[in-house]
Amino acid sequence: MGAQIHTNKEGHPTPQKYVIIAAILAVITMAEVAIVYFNLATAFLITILIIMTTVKFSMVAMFFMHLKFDNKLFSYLFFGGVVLTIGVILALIAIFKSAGS
Amino acid sequence: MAQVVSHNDHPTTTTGLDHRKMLMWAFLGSDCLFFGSLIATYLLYRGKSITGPYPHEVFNIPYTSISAFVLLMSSLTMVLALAAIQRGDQRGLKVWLLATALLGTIFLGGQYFEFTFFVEHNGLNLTNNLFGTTFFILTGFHGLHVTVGVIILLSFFVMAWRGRVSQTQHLNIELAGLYWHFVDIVWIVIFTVVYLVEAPNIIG
Repeated sequence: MGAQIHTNKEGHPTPQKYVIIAAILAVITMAEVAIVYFNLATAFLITILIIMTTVKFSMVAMFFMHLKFDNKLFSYLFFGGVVLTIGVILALIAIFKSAGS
Repeated sequence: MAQVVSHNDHPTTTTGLDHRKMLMWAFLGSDCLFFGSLIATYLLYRGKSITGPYPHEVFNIPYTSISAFVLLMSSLTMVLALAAIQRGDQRGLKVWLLATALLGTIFLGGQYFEFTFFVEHNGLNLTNNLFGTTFFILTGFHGLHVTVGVIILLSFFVMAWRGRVSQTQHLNIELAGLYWHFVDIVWIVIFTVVYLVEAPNIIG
């Protein structure tokens, strides 16, 4: 195991790349807002919104929070929490549905 | 055992990772569960209010989109502040920290105006229906997180202004940045789950 604390900037994007990533995020946000005004099937709209939200979430976590470049243990800690959260939300919805039926 | 000190003046750990950074990631992972429970509660009671006002009557999606955009851009200024201190650019650090705090404050101002408008013009409050309760609790706690973030950023700005944030201490800025980006990604989810799904074409 290396002695160096993993807080160095090696491999991090340049400021120009950060601006490009932010521009992509802004475009996705505009697309999210625009798409809800189109007359599309609700299931399709919700699927597209979930995909776009997931892409934005991942881009911020990977590039701005540097998970793509940092030690994998940080990713496990964070995405472990995210997966657990999704599980809790789905479990709660399932419990309430079964209690209501 | 001889203790090796890294460039960051912290003792080497068994994992080779800084404990403070590990703690921050563990905190963010657990904070996901906090917001997850609030989002789950909002979703469970969505459409269950027996009296108005209802979400589609009060939400102004273009207005909230601008707030979402402001918070998204604050993530850019935050990461630019970190990049600045990593290359020893003190002026850049101060400029981008202040810009991030300013964008966070604009977001909070927008949320204050939105809440005030809902209460005064739409008659929506914490207690008049399930939507009001779950909406204000969820977005209010997010606003509280943003407020804490702005205080942290302004504290670092004052420290940087006094020349007390050196290039070797960039981890402190990185940790503040991780918290700030987390606040941003939580809003990315809330914006979709709470606001966009109430758009006319979806609720119809």
